Amino acid sequence: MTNLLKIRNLRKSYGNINAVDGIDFDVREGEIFGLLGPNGAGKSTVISMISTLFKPDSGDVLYNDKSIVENNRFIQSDLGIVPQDIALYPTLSGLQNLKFWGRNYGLKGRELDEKILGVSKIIGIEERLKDRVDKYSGGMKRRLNIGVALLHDPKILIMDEPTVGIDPQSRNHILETVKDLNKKGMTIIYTSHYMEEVEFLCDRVSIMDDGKIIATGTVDELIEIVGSTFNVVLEFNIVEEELVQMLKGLENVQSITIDGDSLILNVKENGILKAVVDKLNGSKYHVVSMDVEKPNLETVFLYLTGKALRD
Amino acid sequence: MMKLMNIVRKDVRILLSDKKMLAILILMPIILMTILGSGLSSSFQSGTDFEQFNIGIVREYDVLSPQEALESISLVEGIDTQDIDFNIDEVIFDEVLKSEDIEKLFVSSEYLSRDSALEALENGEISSVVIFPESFLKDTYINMLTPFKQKIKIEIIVDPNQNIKSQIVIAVFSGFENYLNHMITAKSLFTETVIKSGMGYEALENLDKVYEAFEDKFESDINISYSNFEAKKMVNSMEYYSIAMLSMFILFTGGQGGRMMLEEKNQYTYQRMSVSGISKWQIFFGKFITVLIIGIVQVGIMIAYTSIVLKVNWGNLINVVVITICALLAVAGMGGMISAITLKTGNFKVANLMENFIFQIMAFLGGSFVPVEMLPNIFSKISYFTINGLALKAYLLNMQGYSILEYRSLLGILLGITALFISIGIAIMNQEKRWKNAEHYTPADA
Repeated sequence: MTNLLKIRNLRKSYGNINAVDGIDFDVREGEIFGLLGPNGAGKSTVISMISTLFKPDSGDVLYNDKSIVENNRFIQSDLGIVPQDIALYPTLSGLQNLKFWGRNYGLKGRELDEKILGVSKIIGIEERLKDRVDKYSGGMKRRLNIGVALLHDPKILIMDEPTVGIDPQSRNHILETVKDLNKKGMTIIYTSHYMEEVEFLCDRVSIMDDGKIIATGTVDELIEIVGSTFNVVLEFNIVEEELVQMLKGLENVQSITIDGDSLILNVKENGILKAVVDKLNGSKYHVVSMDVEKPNLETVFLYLTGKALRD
Repeated sequence: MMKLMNIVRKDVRILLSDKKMLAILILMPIILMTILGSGLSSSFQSGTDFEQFNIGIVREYDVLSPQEALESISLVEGIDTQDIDFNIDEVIFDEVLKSEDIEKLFVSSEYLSRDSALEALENGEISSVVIFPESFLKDTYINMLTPFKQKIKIEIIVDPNQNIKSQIVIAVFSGFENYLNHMITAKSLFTETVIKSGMGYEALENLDKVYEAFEDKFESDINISYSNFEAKKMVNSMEYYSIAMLSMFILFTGGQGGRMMLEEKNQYTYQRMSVSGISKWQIFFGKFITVLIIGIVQVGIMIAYTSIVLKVNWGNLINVVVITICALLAVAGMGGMISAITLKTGNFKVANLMENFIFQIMAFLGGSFVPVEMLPNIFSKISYFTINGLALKAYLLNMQGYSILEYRSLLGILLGITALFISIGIAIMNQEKRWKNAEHYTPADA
């Protein structure tokens, strides 16, 4: 597969904040590329620069080897953008919204009507097309938000956290839609802080934190980074710094993250529970419950940053 | 161009879908026109609480004593003119015009000729001219002191732009007319009685007592004719407030347009449009045209309502269209400028300030609440700096029958304001790079 997009040493700062701090990655034609990271990692800023909305302080974005920082027209007609926020006109109907955005891309007449019909089937809102958007549920608004980006058959679709704040049914519908679009050949860049979505959808993933790419690869390649480590989630009667210090000294414990009344222990091998029980014997701390998580992108993020993905 | 029209169509649809906004822009002015027009009709006829104003007096007659005036008339045999101490010229100038009550209303200045007085009227130095004809003095004495009657015509020429002041001058001189007519009628009756009863001319010496006792109204022999200079129509309160409310509420349409850019940005459609290849200028001028279209709909409804329901005659309709377009261009320009400022500042403070404060001040200064002629003269000058004031004056002049050439300067100022506001808007938008307009960074967005 050829590299459709090349991101080179991209930087963007706001005052003293380095929102994006010199990142590099490629997006291959026909793949679903995931950008995974917690809120504030810099994903939306990267997306805004790729979609030519923000100008980078330095670095370049090449689309088919042409700089879209210098001339955004190289990508405009090939690009569909699904912003994180609902970018629709709430007092207009779904149909009026689709017509407006379709016309902006030069569609008109029968072609526009056919595109609207096709897109409304994909996003599943045919029966509510004539209703005002402010009467839609959150999930329907999200789906229409996606539909607007599909009207002109873009070659590359950028989706920025498209499932934030919606019900599971709409979420599943959106994920299935993304899969279907990709099967038809559309290249998709998908950002999310939900690692399950990224694991489910993406061929390759870049993990971002504090404006930097900390790892890039397929989901399997990323999980291999953590090797045989896995997470043991222990819920205690009480969590204090003293407890964290006691457990940090245990053999095979890579890192410890506090999550409410629980501690997430990233460990190398089995048998940690016996060691924990032995360590806490006679102390005021008692294990209330325990769970063992297999390695996933969450584990990878925890392993690489020492932080939980949803912190 | 297609993209621009697409934006305009969408913006018009959005505004028309906002029922609350439509009520403010269309329903409210219609209600206010009706209430103010009918409620304040009396103040348009009487007029109180005025600043003192100036009028001009032209005496085309030679100032003569009754004796001198009647000397040349051969038919006054038997009347001893030497005993007559009634001086009509003194009555007018010393008793009527110099009276305390009249001087509270206006100050009269004498002009040597009709032409010089009319020139002063056109220059706005005075609001009316009262012309006493050449034969006034002699004919008045004939009417009052002899058995004969002469028709007398006192002419009052008023400035139609100073409607209420003109009404006051006419009322004052009509009162004077009544006073003289009572005297003449009294004289006629008394003379007839004296002659019929054979009392002789000596009885006429008691004529002054008859004048004092006589109060009833009879047919008039002194006629005061009044017209405004160039004989233009004078507007009533319903007509005035139809124009006044229309001129004021188009400002709010501009204010509404001023919010649209930031609303686009806040609902992220501005950013989406930017990404889809729509330039900031297409968005900017889209709002400008939208305000223009909404304004035309708004003005069209108001003019139709006032014409059909309130029976307001707006005058030459082609001129009405021209005035409306000039006024709405200025309003749309203002909307564009507010839009640009609002987008740059990233909040609605400027738009709110305009709607809640500046427009109210402009409405007052432009004469939309009360006619500026009821206020100190300085307000009349300030009204030229307001869009609604200029539009109001132009509509009024058209309603009064003036040719468009006579108020073209008002339309020119409106177009100048349009150019100024658009230039400011463009200058502000030019400072903002495309991505600057779109960027809206908070750490949570990153």
